[in-house]
Amino acid sequence: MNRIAILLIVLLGALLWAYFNFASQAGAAETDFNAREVVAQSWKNFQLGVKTELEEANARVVYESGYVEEKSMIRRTLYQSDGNKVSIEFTSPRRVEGLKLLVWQSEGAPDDIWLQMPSLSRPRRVSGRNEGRFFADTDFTFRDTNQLAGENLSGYTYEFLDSNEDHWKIKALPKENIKAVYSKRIFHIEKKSLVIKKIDYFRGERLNKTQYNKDIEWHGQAWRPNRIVIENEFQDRRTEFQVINRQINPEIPMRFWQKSFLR
Amino acid sequence: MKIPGWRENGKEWLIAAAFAVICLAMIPGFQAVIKGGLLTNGPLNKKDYYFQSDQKVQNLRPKGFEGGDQFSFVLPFGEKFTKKDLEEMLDFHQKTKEVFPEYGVLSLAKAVHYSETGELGDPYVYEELLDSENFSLKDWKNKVQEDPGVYQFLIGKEFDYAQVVVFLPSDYNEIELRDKIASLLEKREVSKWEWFIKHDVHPVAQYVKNLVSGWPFGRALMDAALISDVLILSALALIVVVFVLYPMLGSRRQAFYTWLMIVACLYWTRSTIGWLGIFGFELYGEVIKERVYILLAFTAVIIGGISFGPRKFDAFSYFKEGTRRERWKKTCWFDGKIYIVATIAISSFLTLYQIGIRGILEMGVLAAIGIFYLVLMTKWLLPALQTLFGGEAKERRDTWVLKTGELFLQGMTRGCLWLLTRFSPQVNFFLFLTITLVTVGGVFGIAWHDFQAHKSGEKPIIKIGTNPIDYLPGTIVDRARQFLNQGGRVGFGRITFLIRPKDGDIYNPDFLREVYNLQQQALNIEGVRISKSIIDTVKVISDRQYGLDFPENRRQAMDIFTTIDWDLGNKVTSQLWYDKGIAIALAVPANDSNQLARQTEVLLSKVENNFPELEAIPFGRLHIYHQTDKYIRENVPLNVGTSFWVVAVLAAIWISIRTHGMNFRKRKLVMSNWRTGIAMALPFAFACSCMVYLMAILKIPLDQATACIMVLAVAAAIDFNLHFVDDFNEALSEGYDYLGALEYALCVKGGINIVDIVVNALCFSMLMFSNFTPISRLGMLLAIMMFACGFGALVIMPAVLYYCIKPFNQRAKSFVRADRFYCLVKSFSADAKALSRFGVDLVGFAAQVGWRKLHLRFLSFDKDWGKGCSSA
Repeated sequence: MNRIAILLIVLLGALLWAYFNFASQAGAAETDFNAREVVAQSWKNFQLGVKTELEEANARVVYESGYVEEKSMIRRTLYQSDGNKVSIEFTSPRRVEGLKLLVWQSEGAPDDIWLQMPSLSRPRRVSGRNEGRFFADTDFTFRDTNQLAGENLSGYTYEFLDSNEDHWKIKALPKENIKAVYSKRIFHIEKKSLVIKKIDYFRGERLNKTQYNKDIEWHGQAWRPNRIVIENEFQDRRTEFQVINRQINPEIPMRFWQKSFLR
Repeated sequence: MKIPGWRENGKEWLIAAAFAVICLAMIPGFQAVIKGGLLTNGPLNKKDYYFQSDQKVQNLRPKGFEGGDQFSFVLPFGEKFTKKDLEEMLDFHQKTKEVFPEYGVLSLAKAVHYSETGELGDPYVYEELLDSENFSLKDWKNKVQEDPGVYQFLIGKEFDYAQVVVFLPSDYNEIELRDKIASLLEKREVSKWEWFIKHDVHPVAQYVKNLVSGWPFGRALMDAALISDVLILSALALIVVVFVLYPMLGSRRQAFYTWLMIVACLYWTRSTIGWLGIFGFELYGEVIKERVYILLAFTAVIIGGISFGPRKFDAFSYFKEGTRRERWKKTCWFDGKIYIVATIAISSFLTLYQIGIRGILEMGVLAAIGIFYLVLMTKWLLPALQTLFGGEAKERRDTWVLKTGELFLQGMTRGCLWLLTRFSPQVNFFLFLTITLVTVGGVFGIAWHDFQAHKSGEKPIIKIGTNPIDYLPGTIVDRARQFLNQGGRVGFGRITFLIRPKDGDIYNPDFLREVYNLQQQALNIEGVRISKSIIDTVKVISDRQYGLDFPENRRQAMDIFTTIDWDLGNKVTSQLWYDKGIAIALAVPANDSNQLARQTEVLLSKVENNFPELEAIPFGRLHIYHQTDKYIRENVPLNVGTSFWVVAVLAAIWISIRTHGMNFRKRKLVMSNWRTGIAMALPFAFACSCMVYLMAILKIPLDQATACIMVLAVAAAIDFNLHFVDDFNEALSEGYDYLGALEYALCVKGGINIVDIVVNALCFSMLMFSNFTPISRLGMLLAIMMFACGFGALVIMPAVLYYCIKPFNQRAKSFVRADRFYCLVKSFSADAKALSRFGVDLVGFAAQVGWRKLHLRFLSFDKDWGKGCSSA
């Protein structure tokens, strides 16, 4: 009699375990699909109808000590289905004037990034190992310079964390096949417009920085933040990226996205 | 036991209630105490060159330069340097990054190896490199040796250790830092309660060889040791009070009240620090903080308590007749002695500002506050508690212990009398005065020798130097110091300078060359092991990317600095340079503050003479150390002299008042006020001189702790002299001659002084249990000094008193006037009391009448209201 009772308990336990285990996996697969869709749609909207883009911007870095550094730059972006291309050129202050960065994004492969110092004859390549470094004394890493224009969707898994009337909170975890800069990112996406309002970046378990997209401007269905503020918890500083002039689909010669741009 | 009610003892209940309320009110202050570093903002002199230089550099924060702190993990390698050591270093670097993500971390896993072309530089150590099959340790070592920016700094010259350096912002929290380091090395969370008994970090087996170098962590460890010291000291105080007071007083309750008073005083004193901070009270521009030297203030309070309490109870027990309240009233005559002892002690403590060191000044102020509280409690609290809750001294049983004690005291006092009567008083006077003057003269000789030695750079007899590491003996920080100070290693200390061009910015290639030359010349300074700045890395990049020794134009210089800035991150680079200046660090053993001062002066003179285009600004805490010692060297003799005259002058005033207050009908001899005042200060001069010899023999340095020795001795031992002179004076007023008065003061009343000497020495010897070597050394010195003070008070001073007495004129105007004055004061005080009693009665009567009227009005209102209701 005892043996039968034990057998029944074991069987029941196994059934319950199987039910909850498979149910949760099924749920995860479903949420992953939905969350990924939302992020993909948001970036799709971002690029909708935009082929080229030119931004003149100021980056203001404010340190906790009160020290302030200001930099001006021109960013040119070429949107392509097989990967965007971004070029950045600093125009002031004197210390970084003429400094250039070129990024080639490619779906499913590591990005190609080159940096050109004005006094050097040849550009230097930024390897995947160094993509996590902060770029130009701002709170953007080399990787971020590209991720501002789009997302490598195949490199991450997405999951809904929370939702309210206005926003979704979506967690993006890097897949094992990519060299991740952040251990986790959390997107705060407005339901109505699918605009990414805020991104929390984590390194390890700790919040590294928070990016706020502000002063949203619409170009047809494409959304653009005119002001990006990044609060860096680790560095005790804040970067304010203010777009002064933006042109959508201007005529930009292709050389600005070729290596010759760096010379 | 029947406890008296409110009606009988309202005043005593009020005092007890006020005491309880103040104790409660002190709680927030106790919790709000701010901790202070040993030498943080050390010199009080705001015009001090090094202080101003440091402030100038600290003010550069808004311009992008952080004169902040650093500490490092020292990772000693095994006997043979292998790839495994690098793997462990990389792993530890990553762990450190995880624990301190908000701080800049620099090690070979972060410092970049700049290649000629190709990719953006990689660190010297990273996972893929170590995993690679092509990795050659020999090639790697060559690569590191070629980079002076990291070689001998982040890795030892012999590849026998590595360093992981953590750059801290200026607003970091030392206690949090300590907790994080402990949890990293011990691989567990250390609770805050554990830090009450813990004062070192014990790494787990994996990190057992790792050491921590740097004062940010050292200071936090010191804080933990201080807490455990305070606990140990308080516990010992409790034991001493129990074992000393009970036999002295012969009453458990009286011993308990005195114990309670001492504990409350310690509590109030510490809480006062917090409250002063809350109210924003500043002393020389900064709020008072709890530093290591609070232990000395506590000891002064404990000794004061053990002196005041038993003597007050002794005075109470002297009167056997009347109620407790009446008996306490009669003890008022004794309060004068407490006031003068407290006044001399407080005045001496307050003279400590002369030394010009914040820690010492704060100790003096806290000790003065503590003694002030003691006076209040002795005057009001002890009588109130005893009146309310009882406690009478019992007749002592004739035990063998007491008998032996009595015999010992008699032997000692008789021995002193024998010494003083062996020769004629004149011979004795010259003999002991000569002994004292020769002893003091020898000290002047030592001071003169050391002054000359300091000027010529020779070895002094008494070393002057506060070595903060002495406060952390045997800890993980001390072991790091010993390791790094071994020959061929980098050294424990860094003296830092900000080098600025007099005109322009750092991107001028000529400036970079000049700074590099200065850096090379600094290597010739005696005791400097290495001399580092960011120029080392600038040179490496310049060589590899442009094929040049130095950048040849501003553009190249800017690009090089930008590259380093991006590679190392702002948290690190903001401590290495900013647009207008570059930091140079000289690595030194930092064992000798005099050598530190010389090294600094030599570098500054090199800049002045050889580099007219450069400006050097010394900054950082190490400069404060040698400046602190300079102030001690210059100001301690002045303070010792002042303490001597404080005792002499206040004692003279007290003698005058006291003599005039005594009955003068039988008096034949009277004491000269000024001569007696100086005679009372002589024992301290003698004892202090003896301590100088002891310090010379035992090679104890004159540091911040020993600098206070004279003042602490005065506070503890003044009552030996005072009570002796008072008894001597009393005997004179009774018509005794010199020898008679001597016998009375020594053999009849002198026993208690011997007890006092032993008890005070016992209290000071408690400091020997301190975790801090200088405090422990000071405890030993003071314990011995008490015996020297005792010898001075019971032998030297009585001998000298012979020349302090003169025949008394019965018709001396001052005495007649004083007599009239006292009569007048007495009658006035009686009138005042009668008037105040009348006033109190009047108020009571008015209150009663008022209450009755109010009551009647209330009753009539009730009636009217009833009427109103019925009519409605």
